[in-house]
Amino acid sequence: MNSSIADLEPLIKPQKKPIIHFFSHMRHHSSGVIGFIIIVLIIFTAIFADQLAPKPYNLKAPKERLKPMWFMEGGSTEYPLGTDSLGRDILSRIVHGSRISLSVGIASVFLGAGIGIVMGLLAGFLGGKADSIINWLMNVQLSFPYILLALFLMAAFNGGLVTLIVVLAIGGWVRYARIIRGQVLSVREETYVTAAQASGIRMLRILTKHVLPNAFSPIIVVASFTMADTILSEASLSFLGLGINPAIPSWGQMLADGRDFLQAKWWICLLPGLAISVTVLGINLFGDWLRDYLDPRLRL
Amino acid sequence: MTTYIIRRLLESILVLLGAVAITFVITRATGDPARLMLSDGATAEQLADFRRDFGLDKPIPVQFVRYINDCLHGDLGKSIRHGLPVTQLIIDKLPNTLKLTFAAMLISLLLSFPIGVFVALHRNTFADSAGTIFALNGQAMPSFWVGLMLSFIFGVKLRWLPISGADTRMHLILPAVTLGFYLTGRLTRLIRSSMLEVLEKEYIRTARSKGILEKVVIWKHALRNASIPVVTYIGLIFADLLGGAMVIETVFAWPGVGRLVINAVLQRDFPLVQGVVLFSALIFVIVNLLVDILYTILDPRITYK
Repeated sequence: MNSSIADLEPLIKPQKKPIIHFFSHMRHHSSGVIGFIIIVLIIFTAIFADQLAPKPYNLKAPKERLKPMWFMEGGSTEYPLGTDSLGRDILSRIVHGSRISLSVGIASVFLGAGIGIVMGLLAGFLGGKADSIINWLMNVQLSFPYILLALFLMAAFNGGLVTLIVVLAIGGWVRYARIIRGQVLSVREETYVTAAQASGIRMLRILTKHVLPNAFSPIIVVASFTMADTILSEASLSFLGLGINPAIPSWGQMLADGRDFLQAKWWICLLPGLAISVTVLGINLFGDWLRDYLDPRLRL
Repeated sequence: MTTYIIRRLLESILVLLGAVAITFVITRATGDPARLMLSDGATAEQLADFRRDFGLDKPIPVQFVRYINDCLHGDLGKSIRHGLPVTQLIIDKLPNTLKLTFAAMLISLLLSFPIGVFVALHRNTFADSAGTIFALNGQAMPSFWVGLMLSFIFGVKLRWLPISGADTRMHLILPAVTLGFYLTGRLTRLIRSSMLEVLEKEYIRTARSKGILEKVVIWKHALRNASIPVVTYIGLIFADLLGGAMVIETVFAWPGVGRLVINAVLQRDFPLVQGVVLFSALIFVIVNLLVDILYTILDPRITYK
């Protein structure tokens, strides 16, 4: 008996630590690696923007306005990516813009997830009228273009950073609420939940112990895609003139500023657009891999 | 089926009512609508006149009931800036927005179906990677930026296409391609994954084993079933597409509802904004109802009770 167990032991692979498993799985998927590298670089840039930016982002040099990139005629290494119409260094503004995109994106994703999780729990567990009302709210929100609602709210509440974060969060809560509601509905009828209820375990404990852990994977995946959408929405709102304070460098705002000079100074529009695209691409690539890693059956 | 359609119509009315309520609440929740809509320098007399003209001097429930009643009679109020009925302004511009939206959808369907099917049939090859990169880029690039870059290349540098206005059919090309590009990325990925799933099904194996031509198996049997999630998706993102059209209209000075509403938002013309929100919701519910009916045509096994 003992000898047979001893024979089997080498066949049982030791469990890898979750973090090691995470990276070893990613290593075999190029999209995950590329996405992860892009995200790490953007986070690094956002954190160390003050150190990385060659000039203060709002420093105006009227004599240096609309300078081209360093390799073009009239360009200089002092302003490697040129200057905008007020003579501000484009590279420094792009570097600082990463801060706005990421911080607004992260804050609104957290807020949207919070609202969505609470609404989903309420809809799924209370059922009846509460479920109908929350479902109706979701359908109403999905019935008109989100960007229209966002523009309306930004104009009505006079913009600002907090309003922007709340408005962007409103754009995402429905996705989370649907997932959580579905999870609650499937778990609610399980025998172990009925048994737990019968033995006097509080509803909150059942929700946190059985419902939320099951919904963790889809929520993380949805959060990654929502983050990408949020960055695009923030850029669209800034481009349309309803983002945060124009003095703060945001990639969408930079694009809007450069639009009037598109014919002759195309790089002013090109570069912030590239920054947005690369960031969103990185997040989507990482999100794609994350979905496969956490739950390949997910169709999100 | 008839019962189902009636039920869906009733649900749609509730959704529309919700859209009206939300826009109504937002304009009232942010303070005095008269102050919100008029400039800061408005006198007390101007504010009082404005409140009387727009019925804002009545209690809020009365205002809401009156607004719903007016909406039911096709009266969405009067635009503050244009001085014209909101319904008339929207009806004037709506055909342009719908033209742009449907042209973009057509371009997108024409591109995404062949690409999606091709990459699904060549899974894990160079073509698959190239198709996936194309689709991911389509999703990652902000549509207004793509629009600006296309207008720079094809309008400013090559001078092939006009970059603003809507005078000729040529004016439609750049805005429609820009909006179509945004949708193509999403659809291509969806068609690819949907095709991959369908190609694994028993009935496809059976069709192949019966010796049916591969072309027929792919384009008739597999694609028809793979199209069902695509149709659902188009219904779901129709509101997004209308929103995308609004941004694109700004880039190309396309005279549609989008430009109208963005100017209305910037000028705080709230009756006009409310009207556009309601109209978009109406289009959305109609499109989704049509999508539900289209299911039964695509898959006769689907029945509604």
